[in-house]
Amino acid sequence: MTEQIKNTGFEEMTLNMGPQHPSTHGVLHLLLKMDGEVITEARPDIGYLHRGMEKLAEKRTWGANIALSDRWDYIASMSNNFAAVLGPEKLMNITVPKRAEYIRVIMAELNRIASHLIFFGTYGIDIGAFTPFFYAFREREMILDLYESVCGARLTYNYFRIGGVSADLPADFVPGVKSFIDYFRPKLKEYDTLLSTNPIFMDRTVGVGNISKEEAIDWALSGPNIRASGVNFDIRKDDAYSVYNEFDFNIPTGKNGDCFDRYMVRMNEMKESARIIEQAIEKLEPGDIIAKVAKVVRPPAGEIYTHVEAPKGELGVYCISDGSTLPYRYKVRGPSFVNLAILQKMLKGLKIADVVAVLGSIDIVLGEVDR
Amino acid sequence: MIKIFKYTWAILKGMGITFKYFFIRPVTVQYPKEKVKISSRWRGTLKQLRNEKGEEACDGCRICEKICPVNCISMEVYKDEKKNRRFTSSYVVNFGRCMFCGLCVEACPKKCLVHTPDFEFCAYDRESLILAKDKILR
Repeated sequence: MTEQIKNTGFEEMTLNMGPQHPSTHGVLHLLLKMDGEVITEARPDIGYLHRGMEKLAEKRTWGANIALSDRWDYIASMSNNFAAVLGPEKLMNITVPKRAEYIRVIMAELNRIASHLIFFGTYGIDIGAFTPFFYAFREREMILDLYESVCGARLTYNYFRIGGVSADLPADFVPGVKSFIDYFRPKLKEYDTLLSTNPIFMDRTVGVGNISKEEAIDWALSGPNIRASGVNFDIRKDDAYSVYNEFDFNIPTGKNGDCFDRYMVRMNEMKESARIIEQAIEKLEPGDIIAKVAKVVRPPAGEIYTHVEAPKGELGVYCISDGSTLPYRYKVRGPSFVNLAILQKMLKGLKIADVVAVLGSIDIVLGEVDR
Repeated sequence: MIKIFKYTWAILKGMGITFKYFFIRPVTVQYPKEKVKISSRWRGTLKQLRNEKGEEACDGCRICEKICPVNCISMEVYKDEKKNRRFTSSYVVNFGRCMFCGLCVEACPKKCLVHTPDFEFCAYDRESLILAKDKILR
């Protein structure tokens, strides 16, 4: 260290950011090595929220694992439920009733809007605009109320079941969703005025934290992060699960892969989700909501990887069944965990003030990073 | 100079949206004084129902105990020879463990285990989170 001071006149400083920093979206601990204001090395230190989800899953029945899956990415639990049910369904060759499929799609897309709204609100706070936070949470509250009327919970839904969903929609759900979308569309324009076209916001985000196309692929990014870099990769189109191939929707992509593009992709995705929900509601017809499945689920021996497009990216579940009521192995590929890895490369050479802008733009949930 | 004007204009535009909401009824609820209406499907604490004769409806089939992912339900069962059915001599739910997933209620074949709309369940120590039958059977 003294040698360094002699040569350059400066000393490298290690700064601990987190785990109780308000902008780390939970308990992320960043070890930043800094030369003055410039970051020379960034190391995310994770594991503060580790609960051993994969090991816990091996001691729970297949049905109970859906309840556990709520706790991976706790602000998009419906997508987690989706990933948790697809594996055993494919192993057991269950055909899910059409109504249940559409209900699932509506739920997953509403959840995408709710998750992106949280991103929108908290990213505003990260950059220094406090107002969007209140507006985002006001709209999210309406989605949570809709969820509450369907499954009785506001955060950990546990709504999907192997073969369908647990309860039919209440009578006021479909009108509720319709009125929410009618209410939500004009609000998106308000958001654009507040953040997207705001020159102060753009100065902080445009050209910051660029990820090139090749880098994004090399670091195995997924979700809005890879699409912002210009890679048109969306599991809903590329490997359509459930009934996603029946819907007409676009995949918004960015060009430069900077913080602003990642933000814009999410904002546009909310519009597309609203479109999918509208189409799904029109296709909703009365019918069964769950296929005939034995109460004790015993998938035949085998292994399978299923993935869904969660709001954060590709959420995959690799499960091995040995024919018993418990899964033999239950591996979860959390998108937040994989997306977080590129942070150490992106932060190198940036100023300390940009750390929060870059970290916020990746949109991680620590419950999913640590699991 | 142009930048300052641009920033100020953006702030004013943002303020315009905020100003609009001065004249709209607030969406916030002053919680302890007023409460929001919660859904009838709300997954709150558990409650056992009695049957039409006024005796407990639960016949101790142990399905809720088995299906619980966090093992928070425990019970002891005995058989009443006179009435020719089973009863539970103790039925304890540890709400310190319960994650309110609702699988037990869904699985109950007698439909005698239900959720209450209670969302303000709290206690000063962990022992009072463990509810025995006198609190659950209502």
